[in-house]
Amino acid sequence: MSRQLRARLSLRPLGRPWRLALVGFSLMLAACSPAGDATATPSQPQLGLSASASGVCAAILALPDRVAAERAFVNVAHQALHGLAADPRLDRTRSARVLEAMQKVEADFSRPADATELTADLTELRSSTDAALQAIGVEVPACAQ
Amino acid sequence: MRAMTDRPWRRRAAWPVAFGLLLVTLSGCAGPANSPMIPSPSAGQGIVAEVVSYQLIADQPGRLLIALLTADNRWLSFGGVGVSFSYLGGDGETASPRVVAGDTTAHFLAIPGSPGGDGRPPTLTLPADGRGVYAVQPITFPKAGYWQVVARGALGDGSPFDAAAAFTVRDLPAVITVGALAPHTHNPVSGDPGVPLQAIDSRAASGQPIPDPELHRTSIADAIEAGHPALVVFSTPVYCVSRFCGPVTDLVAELARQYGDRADFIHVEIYRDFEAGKVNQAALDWLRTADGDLREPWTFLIGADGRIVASWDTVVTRSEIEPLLQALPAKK
Repeated sequence: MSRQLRARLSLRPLGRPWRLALVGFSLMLAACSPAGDATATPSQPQLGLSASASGVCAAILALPDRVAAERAFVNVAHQALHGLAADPRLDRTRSARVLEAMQKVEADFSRPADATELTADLTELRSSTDAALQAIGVEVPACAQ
Repeated sequence: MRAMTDRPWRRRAAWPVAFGLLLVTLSGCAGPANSPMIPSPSAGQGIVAEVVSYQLIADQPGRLLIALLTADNRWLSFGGVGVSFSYLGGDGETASPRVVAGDTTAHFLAIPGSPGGDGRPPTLTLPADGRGVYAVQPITFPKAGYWQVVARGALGDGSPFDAAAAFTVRDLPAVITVGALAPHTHNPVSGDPGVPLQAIDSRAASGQPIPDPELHRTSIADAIEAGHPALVVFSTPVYCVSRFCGPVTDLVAELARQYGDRADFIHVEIYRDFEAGKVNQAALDWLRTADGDLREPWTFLIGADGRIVASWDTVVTRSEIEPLLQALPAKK
């Protein structure tokens, strides 16, 4: 979370004092977070970078229900995708692929896009997300299709 | 409290203040009663505050934006929340956070395209159901330094919440501000030879045509030299980290279609080449601060006289821009 906050606030790394404060902030978030919910469904938020992949997967599985797919994308994947793309362990090329694929999906949801195109773009996003997660050593959740 | 000075913000002051903020933050988790600034006994619903304003300047009216979020990606949306401010110190000085500098209400500003709430009280929402920030405007802070805001209120079910965040008030602007002459910037526009399409709009990075052509026809310099007012948005819709760039750019495009007879509308892409880490010179000219930061999105309204009429960092809404556009005469 601290890295995401930093990325959201600046294109430049923060100085050491602020990193300390943000580390504390992230600890607080972790400590204050409600306990995990074993009954969580794809429409409920999930923590961590792996939510990027699981959220995109949930969106793919929700098709052809476009509304459900968009809710899964926005509610589960979107924030995690931004966090993944901003992760300093990720090289800029993989980060670019994630962000470009995400933007295509957002564009699809913002207009009456062809279902085939939406499926293809979500699949491309899933692929670039998996590659990014693997590159930084985060386990990629399975997507049963 | 110390008198204001013209000295730039000093990094050495950051250590003690950041440590203090860390303690404030952690104590907020343990229970608000631990902090004199957070007297409410509520558990806070797990809500944390994040000040998303990029630039607040001492003794100048500004706009404070606060995002209220939970760790599980829910947003506090709609209605208004009470806010109070404390001066934490600065430039080697520390101050007691008990010094309350003001109390007021922050009102919800929906990110363009998100629901506004229609009178609903503050509610925890999934991003698809509500996303936005709480704004206090105009607000003037009497001195530069580190400040703390505490936001508090009650959710629709009556349960109280509170959350604190720290932020910086500068003594001098880091980014061009209202009243200043706008730089005559030759930002890249459609058809410029030798300019990659993605340097004009990152949405063209995948070989797509440049979207929103009405935003990429005119440079800032051309608008100023023609004596046209201009609404200029600096953003990177694809490579955005703030999540606000795309919606703000879309809003400016909508306004361009509606008010194109009154002003020029310009989108300046941040990156010339994201993968190579190259930033467009136009973005650097306008947004890079002395300490090297560059944050986006920013939106500026330039008057026909070439001066900045208004500026908005991070989120801007139709209701903030539209009255200014409506007041403009037709372009000559």
